[in-house]
Amino acid sequence: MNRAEPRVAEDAKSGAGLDDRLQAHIGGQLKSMYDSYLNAPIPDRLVELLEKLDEVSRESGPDETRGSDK
Amino acid sequence: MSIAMTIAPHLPYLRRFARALTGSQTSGDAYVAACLEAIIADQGIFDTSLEPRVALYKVLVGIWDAIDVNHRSDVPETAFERNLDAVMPRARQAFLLTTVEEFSPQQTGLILNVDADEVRSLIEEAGREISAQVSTNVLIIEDEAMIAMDLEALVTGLGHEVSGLARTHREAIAAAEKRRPGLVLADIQLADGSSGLDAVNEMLEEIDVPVIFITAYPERLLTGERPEPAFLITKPFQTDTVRAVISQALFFDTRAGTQEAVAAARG
Repeated sequence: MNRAEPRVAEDAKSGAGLDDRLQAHIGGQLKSMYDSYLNAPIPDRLVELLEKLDEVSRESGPDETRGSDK
Repeated sequence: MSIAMTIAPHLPYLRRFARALTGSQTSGDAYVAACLEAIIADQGIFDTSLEPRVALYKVLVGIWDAIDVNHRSDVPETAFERNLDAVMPRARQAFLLTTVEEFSPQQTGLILNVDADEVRSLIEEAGREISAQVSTNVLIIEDEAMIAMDLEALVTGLGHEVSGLARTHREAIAAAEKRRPGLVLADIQLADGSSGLDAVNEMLEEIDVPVIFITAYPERLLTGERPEPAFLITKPFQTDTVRAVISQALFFDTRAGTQEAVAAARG
């Protein structure tokens, strides 16, 4: 992974970098690679935390928000 | 609706974001769990005046910023995640929020607690850092002088260096031996009747390098007999297409014949 030689990297830093279109393109590719995670089941640990959050939010009432811990 | 019910539909997306941000699913899920725990401890940190998804990401980003992630032990597994990891944290957040998560600049500003100008400069910073991270030296195998010049300008415009210009199979091998390329752009039909494909295959016996074929005869490459090229651009080409494919090949570090290559080349 040492293909980026220091001098070249410096040249690139002084340049404009990836413009919006190229960033959007890379981002779109990233998005498609991460798509499988969207359909993966939510791990038990996170489901438990959601349930716990549901319980405590019922106890404290739906409208109670800032500054109240319990 | 309770906070839990409001949050639930956004959780898969938050997991994706956390995974992209940290470079591993385990780390990402640890942050998502920490985010939920924080809201359980103090529901006030979930800002109900914001759109729920924006409010949720804002909590996660707050936690990620507060906990020292730079000393974590797990290193991103894939090349593209290492490339992402090299982008400074705030710029990486802005990049992922606007591209992968498709938040508007305004929503991104709310999540990151910065104004629109700062979002813009963070995104520009991400572009510069990714560009610097993937910058390399490129071997161009092309016998038509005008096209070779176009490609050379395009490659240097992206912040790369042209390590060699070859017009024939023999010149290509000589150039790669003289200086190992980080990327090869290859035409198939070369001036002396030799083949860019043969030149590349000979090269790949010695070195592992991403290759982008640029050809007027794509059907000659897609034979199904050998590993098909990850990247194929048909002549005449659009400059923007070549720029996008070069950036993609380098960011995802795509080599011929690998699963990752096939995945990245689609779409």
